[in-house]
Amino acid sequence: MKAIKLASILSCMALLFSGMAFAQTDPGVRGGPSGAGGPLSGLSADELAFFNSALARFQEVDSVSGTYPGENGVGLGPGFNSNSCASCHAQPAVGGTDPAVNPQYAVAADAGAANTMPSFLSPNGPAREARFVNNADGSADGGVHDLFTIAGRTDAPGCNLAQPDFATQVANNNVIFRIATPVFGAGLIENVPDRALEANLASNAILKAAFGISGHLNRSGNDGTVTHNGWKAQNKSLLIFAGEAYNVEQGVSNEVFPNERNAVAGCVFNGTPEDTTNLTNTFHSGSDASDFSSDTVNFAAFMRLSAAPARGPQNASTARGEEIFAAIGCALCHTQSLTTTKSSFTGQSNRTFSPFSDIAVHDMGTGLQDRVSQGNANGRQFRSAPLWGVGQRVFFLHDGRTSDLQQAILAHDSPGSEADISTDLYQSLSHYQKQDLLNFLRSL
Amino acid sequence: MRLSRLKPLFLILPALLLQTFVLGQAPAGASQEPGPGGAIAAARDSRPSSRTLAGNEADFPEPESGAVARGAYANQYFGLSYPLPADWTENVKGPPSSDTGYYILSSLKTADTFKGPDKGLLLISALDMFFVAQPMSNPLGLLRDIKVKLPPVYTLENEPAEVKIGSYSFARLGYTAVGLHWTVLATEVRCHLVQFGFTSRDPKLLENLIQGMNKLQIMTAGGPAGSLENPPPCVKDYATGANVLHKVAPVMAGPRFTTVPVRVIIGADGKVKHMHVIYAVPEQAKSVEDALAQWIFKPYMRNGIATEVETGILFKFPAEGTALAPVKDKY
Repeated sequence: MKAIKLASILSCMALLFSGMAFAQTDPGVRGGPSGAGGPLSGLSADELAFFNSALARFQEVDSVSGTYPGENGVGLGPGFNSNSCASCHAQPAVGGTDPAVNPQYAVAADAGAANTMPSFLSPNGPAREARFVNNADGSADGGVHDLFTIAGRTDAPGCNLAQPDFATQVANNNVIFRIATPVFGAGLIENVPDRALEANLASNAILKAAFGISGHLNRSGNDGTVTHNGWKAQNKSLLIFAGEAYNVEQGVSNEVFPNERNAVAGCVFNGTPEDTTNLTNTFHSGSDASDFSSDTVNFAAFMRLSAAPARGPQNASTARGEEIFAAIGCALCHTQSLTTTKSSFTGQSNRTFSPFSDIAVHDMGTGLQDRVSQGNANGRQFRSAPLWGVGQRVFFLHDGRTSDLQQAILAHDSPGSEADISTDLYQSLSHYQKQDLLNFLRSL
Repeated sequence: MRLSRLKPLFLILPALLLQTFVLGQAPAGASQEPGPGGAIAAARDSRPSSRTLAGNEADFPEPESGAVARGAYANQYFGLSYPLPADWTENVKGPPSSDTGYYILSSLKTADTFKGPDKGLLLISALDMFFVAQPMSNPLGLLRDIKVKLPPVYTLENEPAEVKIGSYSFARLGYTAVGLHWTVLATEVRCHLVQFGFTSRDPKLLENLIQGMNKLQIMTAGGPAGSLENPPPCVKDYATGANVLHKVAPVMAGPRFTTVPVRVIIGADGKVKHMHVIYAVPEQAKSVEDALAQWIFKPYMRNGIATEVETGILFKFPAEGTALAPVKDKY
């Protein structure tokens, strides 16, 4: 009798502890080969050479006039967030997103620069840009305010430009953050025709309504066509995206955005635009197209010809997770497949690919709002973040607020969010099902 | 050992086990940093807006103005009253109405005090049949369309069919996947598809909830003409062609290439009595309202008598053919 009782208690305790031990967890950044950063398959030899040279240009490090040792790119500052595209677009390979170690700490002090680190950065946190929600008079701002200046750098003698007063802006709840969006496969996304995106958004409208989902496409204010790029799908083309980022993030004026920001006396050292079409070939990279093109065109080419990130190993758990992803409505916004239209690049026409995004913007509620409007996306609306490659990302959400995939899912649940029902359904899953979903996402 | 002596152990340990599952939600390694923004909505965000030009504003409720009070969800626009089941409560508020006329009227869920084996969700929503992106016929046709396009992960549980809930006709559809069950009940009110979407792991809970729907009340046409109990007829595309005697184009304002859906109630005299901008930034809403206030329509005739009518108009910003100066994309 006693033996039976003891066995019963032990078996129940075992069950209890197995339950305690099994709480779903984010498996973490997927190990193994990155499976990202290479060129699209099927490109011609010339296109491939262009990609490889553009990749090198994407990694170029800028200094003020290109004279600082090891930093031969021209045009850094006066204000900047980093000195190379590849410093933030780094994880898991060049073109990706924020690495685990924040590169801005090294960049801020590079070449003798005298910058103070803002409170919202940390050595092992995400590399961030900062935007102010409003101007001092209460009107909308929304623009990027560079974190650092070239003051104190040995290649910027006489420049005294001060950093913005971030402490006051933080205290006034007037600053929001963005991290780098990965650019792998960006050319595939760019080449999906408007009619396909419109049809995808309109499809299953009644089913989407049952999940509380609506959304709309952001559009160019110039021609009304759908804009695809950026956290709010606010940028029309990869060239504009590259040109604006080069000017805003590194302070390099260029042929797309030719005027210097923060052009205060004593801090302007170069003619503008600082990045131009090259009239003579000084690169000899193996691609004339790359060598004669500006940095900006090279950056756009790198993004446009970059392959989609490869999925990791699949197993029974990831297969179940994929079913759950579809069943609880995630796939209604994070659309699995889109197809390109006819392409000017070899082998890229009518390619079906899996970005896990509908490219539309959706209301993400008060918990994720950044209060910045861009185009037709308001302060609570964001593009469905493409989830391809999410398995190898360190930081999640537009501001990199978490490294935990489950926290990123739960952050979708707040007043006003179109993802509230799907997040509630996630909460209603068993721990095993949640784990399957997390495993699936980390396999992307 | 007798079963009666084991019973408490059987009851307590599974309860503990379940509690462990519930408590096991907190993930490791999460950042503690709060997100930016808090609960402040920017004044320039899109939102619904309305303006009453004739009559009492209180006589013109809007679809989004329903609320849970005294144990029931009540919505004057739809004349709808739904008593919440025991131990159900409000979920977080949904987003504002969309540019395709989609409303989350109320999101409900089982409360923490709920004793059933599995919890449930209920989303009450409405799709404005004048503006929805998908062609609409009637509720049953729509659910048949869902069935055809149901993603392969789902298995059909109930074929689309007409059912009676109390004295009201609904179309019903049921499907299941990954241990979850969905039942959708849809009906048409004032040219809106009003949907009750139930979800739970427990199909019995869903059946009980559907049985409980017989306490639902929806407006009938028994009241005085134009009253809340007898709203004006809704007519698609009434504000077109020869029906519009005088119109003024809205002034271009706000972001470009947006659409602004508007519901309008036109009086028997052909003048706008009330307008409801469903989705627009404030400056575009004002522009539309200022323009529409000047429109004059041919009176809507029913049985030979001029009467009020409700219709929808979709405005585009900018209006087609407007010359535009270039704008700079904002990074």
